[in-house]
Amino acid sequence: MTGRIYEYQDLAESQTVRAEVCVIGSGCGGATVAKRLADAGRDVVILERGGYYPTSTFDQDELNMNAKLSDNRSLKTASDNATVLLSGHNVGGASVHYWADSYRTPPDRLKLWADRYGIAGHGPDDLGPAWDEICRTLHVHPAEDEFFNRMNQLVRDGSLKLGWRGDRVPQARHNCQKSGHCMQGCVYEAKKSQLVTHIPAALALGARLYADVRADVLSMDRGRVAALQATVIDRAAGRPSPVRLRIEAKAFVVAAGGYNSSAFLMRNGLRAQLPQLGRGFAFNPSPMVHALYDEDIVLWRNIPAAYGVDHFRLARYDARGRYLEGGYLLMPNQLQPGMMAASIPLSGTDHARWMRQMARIGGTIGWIDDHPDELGRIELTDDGSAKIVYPFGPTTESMLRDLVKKQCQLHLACNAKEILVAGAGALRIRAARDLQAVDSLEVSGGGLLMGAPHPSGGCRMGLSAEDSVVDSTHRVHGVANLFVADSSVFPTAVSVDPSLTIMGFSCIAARHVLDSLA
Amino acid sequence: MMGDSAIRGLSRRQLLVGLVTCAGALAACGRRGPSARGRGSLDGAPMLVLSDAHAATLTALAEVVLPNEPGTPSIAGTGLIRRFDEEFYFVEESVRQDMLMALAVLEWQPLAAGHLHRFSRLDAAARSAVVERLLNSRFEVLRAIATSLRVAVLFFYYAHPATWPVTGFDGPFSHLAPQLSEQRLRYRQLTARQ
Repeated sequence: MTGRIYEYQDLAESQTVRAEVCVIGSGCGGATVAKRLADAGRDVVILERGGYYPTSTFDQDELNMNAKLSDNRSLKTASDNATVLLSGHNVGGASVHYWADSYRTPPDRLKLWADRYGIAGHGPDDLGPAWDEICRTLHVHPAEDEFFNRMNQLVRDGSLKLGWRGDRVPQARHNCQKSGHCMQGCVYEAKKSQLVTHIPAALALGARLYADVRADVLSMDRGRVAALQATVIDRAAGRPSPVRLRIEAKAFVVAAGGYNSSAFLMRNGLRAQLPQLGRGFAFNPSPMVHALYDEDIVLWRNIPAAYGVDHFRLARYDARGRYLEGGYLLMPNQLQPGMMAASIPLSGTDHARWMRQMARIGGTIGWIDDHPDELGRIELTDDGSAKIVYPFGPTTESMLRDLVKKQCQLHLACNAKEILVAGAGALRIRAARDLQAVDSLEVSGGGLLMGAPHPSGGCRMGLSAEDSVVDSTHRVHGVANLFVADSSVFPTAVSVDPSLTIMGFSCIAARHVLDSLA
Repeated sequence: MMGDSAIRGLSRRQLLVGLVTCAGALAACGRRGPSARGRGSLDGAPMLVLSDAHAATLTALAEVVLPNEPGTPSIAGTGLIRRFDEEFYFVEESVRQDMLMALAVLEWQPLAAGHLHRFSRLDAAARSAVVERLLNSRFEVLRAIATSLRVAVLFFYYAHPATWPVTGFDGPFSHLAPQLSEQRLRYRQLTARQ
């Protein structure tokens, strides 16, 4: 129990590492479970495939930080070849580049998971104490007035004018400098990512963290994981080194994130006994709308989302079950110049005209609550990497179009001069009568420019191996000492930003891991 | 001319291979096409992923996507092609191959669509028309190819400090000195002029 971080330069020779618990992944799930286990006095080793970048290495440069923090440099897409998969590749995981929006799971979602999917022990009363502690550690609080940049003010005022319910977004931050660089990592340590909260807390309690280490092969012995083979990645080369680690532990916790955990288990051949592995995948597709205003907006400063519209969080259906509207959160957007330019779907002179007025560009974004009957799946490519297959079913497409329309309505209510839907067709909206054109927009394949920031599912929690991958104790069906603690256990999307749900669930997972050790 | 209706229903892999094969065959019959094989060089320094042909396609795309007005930084001035080479070098193999395939389709698809030249040999107006047609294609994979490449061109160009005077961006909040990652430093080593 050395409480230190090992990086690829420290790992020149193959070796065996022994611990009581091995946690694979250091994001919201892995860091939280590791901290809880270390709290209980357990000897924990954390493996992280990405690099260790302390905040002293942050420089607020879009491309430099994208290279450090983003998996596949934000160039990997879903099966439609256009929806960008956003996830972390670093100690602290995606929490280092997230927006710090910190919602507790809505009770209706926990009830759905209990009623429809048979999840036990994850109700509001089970999660409440964990959330209370996490919120203290991460300084979660509603955004104060000073953190409303002009776009946040417009979203608040416009939505009130339209009669849409919204609220201040709970923020995991303290002493924020309003730099606008949440997505480049917070150099001031004001944003309370796992890198500056649960990771150092776990290390202080003796946990060891191995960065640049890729988990490869689980060695099984009579229904238990006996050891894990792992490969040290030469971070500078971005390629595997010849150095191997063998990790021996009493329990193993997979917390590689929604894009990776099920793929890891598939590479280990568990699909044969777990037919639901990789299924039930959601990722909150997030369309954007831009607008030119008569005043400076300066979208790239202060915090991203101080105010959010949750009026449409739950989708509404008619008596025959046909979709009517909603099924998403609607937020102000925040973009630095590179991503701003990339998401303005114009070329040449047209594009340049917008960019010359960059200070006056406002923007919104929203993430849909993936429809539970139209979820995607994770498959493996020939090289063993994860392939995200997402169907963009009919209700999903309707939700996305409705979300685009609502964003346009909001900008119209705020007297935007010119509104541009971020999508291949560059649809312009100047008045409410133009909104019907949204109905004929293509959605996938760049029809709408979308990121996918919140993966979930693939290792669904449920009752048996027939319907799920893990049980309500987070244990993989049929493997006595293998657990999953990240968003991949969620049966559906969360309907709000998932970080607190991941952390709350991981606290419960840690308790069950401790029980298994006893 | 191979229209959208003719190609709907093909799988993505069939479509991509078909487009590149057909167009390559056309090129072999009547023209001398660029080779996408082998690594290229830029300003006397090697590239690690892109061939000279890939670089030509990307440059031709950037010329119609980016502004060409007095006062705007040049493609070379923002190191755009070099940036593509670096980014492609550090992504996983499947992502790299998808991006290179996208470049190949962009380069050769105009021949399959009735143009007399491949993309990088078309004049600017024809290139713009090709890009717009792909962006508005009803066939998902063609739309995605044009979208993904244009997004990357715009991202890498406007993230470069040389563009900030044009956009009015006041720079990173604390004006910190750039800190290159190990990978960025390694790329510079690997591509240093001999």
